[in-house]
Amino acid sequence: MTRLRLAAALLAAGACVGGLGLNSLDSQEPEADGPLRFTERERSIIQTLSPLPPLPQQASNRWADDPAAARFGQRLFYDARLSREGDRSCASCHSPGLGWSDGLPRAEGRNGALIRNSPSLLHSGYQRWLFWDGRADSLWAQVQWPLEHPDEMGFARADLVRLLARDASLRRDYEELFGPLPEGAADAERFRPGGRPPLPRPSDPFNPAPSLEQLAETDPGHAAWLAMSEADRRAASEVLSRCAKAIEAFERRLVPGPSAFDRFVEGLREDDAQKQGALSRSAQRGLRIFVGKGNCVNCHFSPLLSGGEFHNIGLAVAAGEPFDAGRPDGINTVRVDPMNGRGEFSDAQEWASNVKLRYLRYDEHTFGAYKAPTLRNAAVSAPYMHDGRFATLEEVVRFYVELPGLPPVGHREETLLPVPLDEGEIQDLVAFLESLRGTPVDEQLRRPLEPTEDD
Amino acid sequence: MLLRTLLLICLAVPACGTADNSPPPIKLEYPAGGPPLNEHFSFYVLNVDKQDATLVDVDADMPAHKHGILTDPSIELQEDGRYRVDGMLLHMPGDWEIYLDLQYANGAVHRQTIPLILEH
Repeated sequence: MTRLRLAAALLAAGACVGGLGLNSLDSQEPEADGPLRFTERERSIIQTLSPLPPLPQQASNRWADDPAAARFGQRLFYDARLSREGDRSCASCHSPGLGWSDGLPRAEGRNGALIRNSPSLLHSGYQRWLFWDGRADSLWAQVQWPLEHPDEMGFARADLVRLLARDASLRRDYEELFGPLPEGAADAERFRPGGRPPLPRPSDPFNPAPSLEQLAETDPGHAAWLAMSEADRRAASEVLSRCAKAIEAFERRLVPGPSAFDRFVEGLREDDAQKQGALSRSAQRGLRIFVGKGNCVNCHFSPLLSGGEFHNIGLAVAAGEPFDAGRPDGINTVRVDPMNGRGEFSDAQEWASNVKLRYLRYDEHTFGAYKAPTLRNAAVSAPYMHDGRFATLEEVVRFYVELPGLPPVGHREETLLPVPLDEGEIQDLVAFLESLRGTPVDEQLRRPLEPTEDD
Repeated sequence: MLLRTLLLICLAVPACGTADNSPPPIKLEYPAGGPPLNEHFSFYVLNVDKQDATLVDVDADMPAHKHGILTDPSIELQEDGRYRVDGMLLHMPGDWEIYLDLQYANGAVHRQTIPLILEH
């Protein structure tokens, strides 16, 4: 109580004005509690960071918010039969117990480590672009990549059709949502084992994409696809797109509840010191750095704590690692993806619903750029960065303190300069990032659905 | 979201003097509330026709960052002489410059620069 009175007296006497003064007070009164006094500018910025708004509309998927679709998507999400060897599901790399990621620097594929870190699925329904390079423009367009990539799940859409045809429970759920499966869905002569098209790949005169016929010479899955009729290929792709839309409906529900930071902002808005107490003084000091001299909020802004766009922060390439251009590959790929929002399987193909695709620019300044991830719940989805090089949030913060090395391609954001933080400030910033951990998503979503009585 | 914008909407056009009969300056009409942060938006460019010019390109940069916008905005001349610009996206808070490339009757293209501070 004595310390409180002293702090109040100092504040009342105007001993501390602005961030510098309050930091000085803080250092003089390390045991003082109660909220920091933020400047008007700090308060203004902080209040733009919370609360999280409702999910954005998803026009290209008419089932995006359909509860039955979400239940079907949950079944598919946890079903390891959607992999070539039947040994991995979506949940293998996006595990509820590991922050809906896998806890690995880089995902472990069928043939070894992949080139990038598995992003958390929490808040993924808010993302404008998917993947570190943004090569998908929706969660449902994203699904085809891990599902059919030979290094990931290695599955095939023709196999998906036959799986649905032979599993009465899955078939019932599918047909209740989307209508009948294609005629001959169980026929392996029509929906040939392993049949899948090449993954979307841009083509240009200097780097032409090989034809399906060329690919079929070395890949049995593409040969099987080539042997299918045009109508059956389209039908298989439609089935995949609908299953992917159901998975998106499930993934859109992966939104944690409010965090300590959200309660703090509510208290800031209402001038409620008790609510502001949800954030420790250390985390509040970290917040001040976040919106102030750290400049973190330049890229990690809005309630998602990310603009969802792409930045080159100058991560040097590790020895022996492959060249990775980042965003430019994503731009070129999303444009030619048959499952993008403009494609034949989209539920809103007109330009008006696809502004982000219509005006998307290929820009050399995006070389070496990767998507700025949301910081909400980052504390539960270590390791960090597109290649998972940092094991802890503290390592991430220390990177920004020093900014070592140079990017292998492109140039670092020119305003991104080393942030001189002392040891205490580093811990404060980490404490703030930890405070962005929301309450867990519904327990019912964290495990495979139990079969119903009908099953 | 609280947006505060500093808009410089009147430009000095090289071809124009300051005499009373000089054509009206170029003006921009942003959406109500100003240009939004990290959302696609449209705006209008006024008085290009009064300069005997044509708007041929619109772009934007963050000079301090050495990068620009991530979109290719489209331009459409309206019946009332205004130009409608669609697809603009200012994806970060900070100091931006909006560039308007005006082509004059003699074929020369002059770039008009409009500074804009986009806050959170």
